[in-house]
Amino acid sequence: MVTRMGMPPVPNREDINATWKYLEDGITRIMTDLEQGMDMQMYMGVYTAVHNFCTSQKAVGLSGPSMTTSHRGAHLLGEDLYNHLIQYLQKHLAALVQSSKSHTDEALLAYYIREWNRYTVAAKYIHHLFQYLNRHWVKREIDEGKKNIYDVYTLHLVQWRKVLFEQVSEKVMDAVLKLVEKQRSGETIEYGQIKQVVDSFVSLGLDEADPSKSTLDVYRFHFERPFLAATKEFYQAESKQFVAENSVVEYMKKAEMRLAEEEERVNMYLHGDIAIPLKKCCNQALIADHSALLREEFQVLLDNDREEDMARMYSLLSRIPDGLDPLRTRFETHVRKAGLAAVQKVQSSEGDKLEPKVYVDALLEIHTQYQGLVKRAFNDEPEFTRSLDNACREFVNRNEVCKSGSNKSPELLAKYTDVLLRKSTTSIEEADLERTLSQIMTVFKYIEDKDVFQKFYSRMLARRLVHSNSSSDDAETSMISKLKEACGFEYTNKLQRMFQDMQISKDLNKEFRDHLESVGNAKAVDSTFSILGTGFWPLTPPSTHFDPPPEIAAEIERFVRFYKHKHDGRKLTWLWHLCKGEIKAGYCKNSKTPYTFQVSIYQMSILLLFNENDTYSYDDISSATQLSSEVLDQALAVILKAKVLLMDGGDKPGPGKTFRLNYDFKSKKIRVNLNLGGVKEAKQEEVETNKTIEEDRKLVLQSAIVRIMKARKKMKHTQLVSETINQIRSRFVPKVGDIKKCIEILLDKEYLERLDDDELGYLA
Amino acid sequence: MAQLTTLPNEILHNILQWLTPKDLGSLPRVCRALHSYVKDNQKLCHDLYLHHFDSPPTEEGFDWEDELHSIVRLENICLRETAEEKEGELSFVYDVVTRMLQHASSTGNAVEASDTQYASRNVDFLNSLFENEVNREAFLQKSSLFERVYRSQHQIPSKNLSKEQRQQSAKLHCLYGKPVLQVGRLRSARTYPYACSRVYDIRQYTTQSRWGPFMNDGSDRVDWEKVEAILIVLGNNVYAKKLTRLFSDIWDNPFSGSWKSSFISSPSPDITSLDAMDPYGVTGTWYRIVCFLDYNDFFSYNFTNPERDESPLHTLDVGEATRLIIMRIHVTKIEQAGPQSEYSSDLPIVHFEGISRPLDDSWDDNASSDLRGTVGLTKEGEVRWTSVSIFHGHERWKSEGVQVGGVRSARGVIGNWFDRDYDPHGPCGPSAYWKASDSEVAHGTHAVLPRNFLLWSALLQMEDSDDPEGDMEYTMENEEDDEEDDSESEPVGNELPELLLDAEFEIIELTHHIEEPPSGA
Amino acid sequence: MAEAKPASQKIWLISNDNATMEVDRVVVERSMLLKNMLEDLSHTDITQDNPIPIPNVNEAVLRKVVEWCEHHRNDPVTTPDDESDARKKTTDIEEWDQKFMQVDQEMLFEIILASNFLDIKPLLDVGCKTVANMIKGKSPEEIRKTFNITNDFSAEEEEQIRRENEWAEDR
Repeated sequence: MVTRMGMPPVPNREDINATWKYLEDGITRIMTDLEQGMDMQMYMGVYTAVHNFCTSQKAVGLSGPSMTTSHRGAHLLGEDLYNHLIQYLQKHLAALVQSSKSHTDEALLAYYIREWNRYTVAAKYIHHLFQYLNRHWVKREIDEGKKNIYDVYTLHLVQWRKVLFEQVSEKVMDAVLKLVEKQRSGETIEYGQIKQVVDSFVSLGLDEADPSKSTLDVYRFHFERPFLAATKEFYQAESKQFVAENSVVEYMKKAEMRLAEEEERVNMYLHGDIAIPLKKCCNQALIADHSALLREEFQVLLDNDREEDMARMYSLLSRIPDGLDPLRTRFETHVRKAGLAAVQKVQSSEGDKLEPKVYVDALLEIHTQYQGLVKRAFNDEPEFTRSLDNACREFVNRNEVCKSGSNKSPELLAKYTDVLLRKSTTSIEEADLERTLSQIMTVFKYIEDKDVFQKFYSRMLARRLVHSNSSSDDAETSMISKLKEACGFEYTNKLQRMFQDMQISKDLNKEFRDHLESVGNAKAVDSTFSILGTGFWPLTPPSTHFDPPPEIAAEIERFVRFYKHKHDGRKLTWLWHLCKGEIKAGYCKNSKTPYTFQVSIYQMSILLLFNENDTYSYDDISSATQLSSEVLDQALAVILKAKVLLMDGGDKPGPGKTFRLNYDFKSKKIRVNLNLGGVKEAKQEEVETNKTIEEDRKLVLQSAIVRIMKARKKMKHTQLVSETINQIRSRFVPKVGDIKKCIEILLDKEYLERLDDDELGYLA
Repeated sequence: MAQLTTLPNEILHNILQWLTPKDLGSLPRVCRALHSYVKDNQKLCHDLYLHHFDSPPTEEGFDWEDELHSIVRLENICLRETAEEKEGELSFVYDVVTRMLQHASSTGNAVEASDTQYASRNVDFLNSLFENEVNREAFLQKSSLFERVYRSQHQIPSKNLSKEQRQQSAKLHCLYGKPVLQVGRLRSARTYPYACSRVYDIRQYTTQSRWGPFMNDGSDRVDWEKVEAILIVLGNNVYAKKLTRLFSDIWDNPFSGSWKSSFISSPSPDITSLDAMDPYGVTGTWYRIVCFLDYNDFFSYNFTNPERDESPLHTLDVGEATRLIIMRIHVTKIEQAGPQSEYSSDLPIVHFEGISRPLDDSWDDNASSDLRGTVGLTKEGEVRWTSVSIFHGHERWKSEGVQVGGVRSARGVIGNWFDRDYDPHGPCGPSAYWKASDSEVAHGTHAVLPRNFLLWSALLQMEDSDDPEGDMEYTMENEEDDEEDDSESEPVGNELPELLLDAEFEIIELTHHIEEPPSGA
Repeated sequence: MAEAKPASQKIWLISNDNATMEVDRVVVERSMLLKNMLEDLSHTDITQDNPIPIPNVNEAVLRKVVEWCEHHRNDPVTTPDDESDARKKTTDIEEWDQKFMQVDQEMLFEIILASNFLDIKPLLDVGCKTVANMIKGKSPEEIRKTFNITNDFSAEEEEQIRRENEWAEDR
């Protein structure tokens, strides 16, 4: 074999010492001097020496096989080489450890990285050069389950860990941590070094069970653990000092910045595995440790509307477990107090004359304000929204105004809606109306006694419809559909039917008119009729007798005939107290154009009498109209006050008084409205409404109880009470006492029976 | 100069691993170097074994060298010329064959023409040995049943075999799985009548044997001679009905599926937690075959014979009815065997429920029922299956069987059925079932049909004759004829399209050849 | 870092008896040893004047090995996983390889040794299978004859070893 370029000859294949000497030279050059390059002769020489050694000693095995000596068998060669390599690596690494001692801090880091890189590059080469050993001897040992035998590259890593890493890793880590601390203190550092240390530590993680796999155990123990400890210590110290010298708001800004920095640090030079534990560690030191302080500050921020700072606090506390709960509690209390205060303010300034609009606006303002805060500062988080809702429900249903009557909130809300929907001089734009109705619904959502709202709303709707002074059909439908959406079909069923009745009546009047024309009937009076379905309308027939005047009676007669013909078998009841009309007065001396009086039908029947005579006694009028004295007195009072009729003697109408027509009647307006219900009437209606609510509630409760018992047959008393509350809650909040009373009533009526053990049974 | 003996060990290993087991006997005798190399070389034996045979289910304690030596000896025995030269090795052969089946494992591929059986190199090897008719004669035909056949032919058995050896031969026959229906070439040397005389002999059904294929001594050990008789009776009907065309992997493929976990499992994704804990793989669809005698035949065979002594009844050859059935079952409960249990506590006891439906038609009420059953390991280590058919809520027929090859074998269960109340007047008969799929749910009618089902129906119709037995004789005569028969069927395949269409409607008519179900129960 | 390596890139090898030959790089890379080396020493220029030394292989054998690599230049590379799965191993030798291996015994062993040195596993296997086929089914004496091996047992030893291996005999 010819050697070239001074390459030493490959040694005798059987001489382990010569072979090893040769290999050692080669390895040393690779380990320490690879920069000088390596030529093919050397590469091939080392490989060949390994090959030759492993395939040698055949002669030894064959030279004197004795049948009795322990046979060489299938033994493969290589163990000597492997052990020599280990010894070499240990010596080499021990020397590296020795010279590492002259370095500290960044110099040590540089040293570690330089040697690590040099070592691993060399290991790759040596792995290839010892490939023959890997392929046969190492493979066989591993196949046969020998522990602690590795391929040559892995062997290098194992030895590095055993010899060098064990001794210097702590110092290297100290240097890393010092460098990181420098960076945290604002200095610029060469972080590429840290990244290389991380990579090195990760490479050293070998799975003992399966060396072909790697684990992060080494990295976690030697890098992550001290890194996290140092991080914790650093931020504990820093935050403690910062908080002592700065405001909480300033501290939050600082913490926010630090957290962002640490996240960036992971991307820059750490292993992804540390991301979560590092975040946890920072959250603990920077937030959790100061959470009490932050929470204290929250009230101050709320009181001063510091939205941006609240948003900051939210985002900080949301990073730690259960960090936000105390904020939510405080927020809820704060909103409730704000709501109550707002109501108290309007109550004390307006007193009894509290306008519905003022009240509802006060509620809405608080809601709008804090809903905005939830959206902007609290990430629109559902939990905060729930706290807001809880607070609103509290101050809407239980506030200063409601003290006078728990139905006050729904009543005022219904009244405000009536104001909005009634025709008036100050009616608002349609778009605004729609928006305001939506706001009404916001408050409506919080109302607990929805049945009270329903009652008032339907009465007022009836009035708007009967007196046709609704501002717009569209607005009415829109409101009804909003209520339907919120409470379901049943809640708005009657309202919708009322609406329909009015539509049907319109058509009916036209048909009636056509009918009259077709039979050629002379037009005596210009009449309009409304057919209102009993049961849908919150209306009751008049309490008084009444004989309509003949002029009208004839028309009514015609209509009734027409209607009965059309709908056989239906019964018509006349709601006289809701009828109204206009009459012209052509008798007045002081006016050329006749006055028009807008009157109730009662007033009409009184005034029409004066077509015959100028004077009537109270008893005459009473017997002609058949009205009860109460109703008659009320009708007369307005006529007298307007001086259309004059009364002789005394100031109150009554038996024995006489009334005469005032020919000198004077008025600035041509149309005079005499159809005025007194304040008293309105008050009375309110009281009545509230009374019917109580009555209705009893019925609702009873029917709910019966329904439940019919389904369950048997139930404990307490169970029945809670089940009833569950079923009713969407309409109003029932009192337990009321439910118990209703159960007693049902027991009396024998819908239910008492069984043993506090149980109730259903009787079919 | 390079020489074989001077090659490095790693190269020598590479060369020698390609040899046959037998070569390991010659090499050490060449020279000292090779002797020293081969001797006690477990690594070489390991690699060489795995080149030829399946990886054993567990390598722990596996003596590669010893196994190879046994296998070579088995091979040598099988190479001897005559049955007489081989017979004496029955126990050794039994030992090695059963061990090789225990050490069988999947190659990852399916057996040809099978959806349910994994291929195994151990099985292929055994198959190659038993292709030789002389080996079958020497080792599979030594039970008392065959002795009766031989005596009827005035052939005197060469050796007096022990009871144990007769069991070994019968078990080998069962593991072989393809029943030997004829000894020599004479029609009178058929094994079927002798098998019937055992299977339909009500005296074989005793409390001690649990009315199943167990020893009549209460030990719960399997009586392989009984299993063998059942195998022959069922096999005879399987061939006569040409069912081998549907289930060639089960009934016509030696040793196939006669080993643990040879069933190709593909559990459905919605596997229940019970199924996951079931070691036996119970849940799924199973094919079942049941045969029975006309009750008049059964009664006259058992009870009109005046001299009822201990000796076997005379041969019986009157023909039977056969039902092909689908069972769909699922695990309902899994429990541990207690110390008092008749089962071994090595594996749990699994309970199942399900239904059975006829595959060929729906008029037979006996094939259509609810099912309930139990699987467990006997103290001896065999898998024992018990099932009960329930008609309108009443238990009626019961069956006992053993799973040939062990847990999750594709070969399935062989056993017998009898009256649930152990009626001493019978009836009783043979039955076998084997798994078709891990899915208990039927996906349309066709998915439950075995492959070639329609082809089979068509062939049965074509070759249907008034004498189904005559038909059978040709099929069974010998192997060359078998092959001819197969090649003859090729053109039939080409004519198929029309037949296929008709076949589906004709099935009901076909089955009318079968006698009415037993009436005496 | 690694430069582009066109399939047609030429490499020069020199045998231990100083014969230089020019081979395509893909062909050379059938040898795992040379493949690793080309990667490790990617900065070295390999020329006719600076060929890769192949210390353990003479010209005749090296040409034979190169011939095999040429023929199998496009074979897929086997992974260690395939290798460890004994079941995938077959004792069959493809026809071209059978012909290729029809050489005298001396050359056969040289090819085996060279492929072992150069780390060309498929060639090593083919060579070993060829030798195995020469052993299969032969008696000890036939094996001795085939491989020119001397019976170095003493008479007693021979008897002892015959007994040891009785299991393989059928008597």
